[in-house]
Amino acid sequence: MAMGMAGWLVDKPNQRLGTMYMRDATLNFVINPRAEVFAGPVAILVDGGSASTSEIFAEGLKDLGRARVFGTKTAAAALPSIFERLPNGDGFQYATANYISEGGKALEGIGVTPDVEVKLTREGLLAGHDAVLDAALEWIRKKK
Amino acid sequence: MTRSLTAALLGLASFAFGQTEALPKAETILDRYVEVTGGKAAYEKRKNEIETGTIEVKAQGLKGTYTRYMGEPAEAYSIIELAGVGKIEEGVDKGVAWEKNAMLGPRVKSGVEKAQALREATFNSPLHWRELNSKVETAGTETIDGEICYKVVLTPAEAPPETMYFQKKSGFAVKITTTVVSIMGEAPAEMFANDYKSFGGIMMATRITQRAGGQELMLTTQDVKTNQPIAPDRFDPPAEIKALLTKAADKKQ
Repeated sequence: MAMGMAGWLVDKPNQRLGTMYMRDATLNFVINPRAEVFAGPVAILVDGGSASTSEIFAEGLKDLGRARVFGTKTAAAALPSIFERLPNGDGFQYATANYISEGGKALEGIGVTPDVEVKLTREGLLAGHDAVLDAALEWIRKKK
Repeated sequence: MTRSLTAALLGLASFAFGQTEALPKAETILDRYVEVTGGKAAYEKRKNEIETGTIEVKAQGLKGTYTRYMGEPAEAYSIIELAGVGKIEEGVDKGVAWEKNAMLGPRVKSGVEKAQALREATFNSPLHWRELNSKVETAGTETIDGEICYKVVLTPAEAPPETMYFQKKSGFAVKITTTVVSIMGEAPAEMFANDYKSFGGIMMATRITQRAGGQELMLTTQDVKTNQPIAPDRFDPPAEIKALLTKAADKKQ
């Protein structure tokens, strides 16, 4: 999903969000540029609820210098996994690959560190403000 | 006594080795596959087909349906609808191989990946093994599900070799191993073919289990209709693919 979405934002061919290392294969997360690509500034909003593909998307575009990431650190749970039912009825989940971002960083257990750390506050939300969105919009306005 | 018995057994072993059955030529095995699945005449009556079935990705608990259209000489369009993932479409039209899905976005295939797609799109492909491969050879035998199978290595001109396993008794292909090439890289793949049933005079495997890139897919064929009135534009690439082709052509100019 991350590659499909990134294709709307990256026009240069053969760019990658990162690499997935499996036991018997290495898969490159190559971005497929769309016919029409958005060339303007891109802000990605994240928090602890951003996991898996959204982390690969955010870190990948951050590493490529295509997006600026706002918010708080992500969930740090990026790897694909499989669930098995054990004979005693318990569930067993295990990762089937490792992921390294284009900048050479592992995400599992580490997460994406935003370029601009912004936390939501109770007061701000009660006043109708989303501090993370506000920071991202402010940055976009300055870029224009 | 013991020594003489051992010598006799060794002699028997060498006799048995000397009696090992010569392997049939790959050409013979591939032609037999055409015969046991219906014969050349039955294949040649088929001008197109529409296959429908179900798909399951066990590890992710995903289930869906698929429809695949194929026509002479190498036209193909398939659509998989997986709950929670959406539509996965791919096709081949007049030498253009493409794919469109939410994971990768729309894209036009090139290089080895394109060569593999064109090969897979060849209609009545069992009939065309001579054109599709630059070399075929029998590489031995292997027992699969208790049945002895001939192992045949097929080497296409522009794609990695694939190994097909044909049951000695029935002549049916029951396993294929190859390397799948995509824009993401290469991954070994194996496919098991079971439950052969007749559709339009041709025997086809109706249960395919495919393992590649840590994923296991199961395809179950529900129906195959042949020589259907397929709309002329059925194999046309979708608008997004046409736009990519136009963009690529514009860049070249």
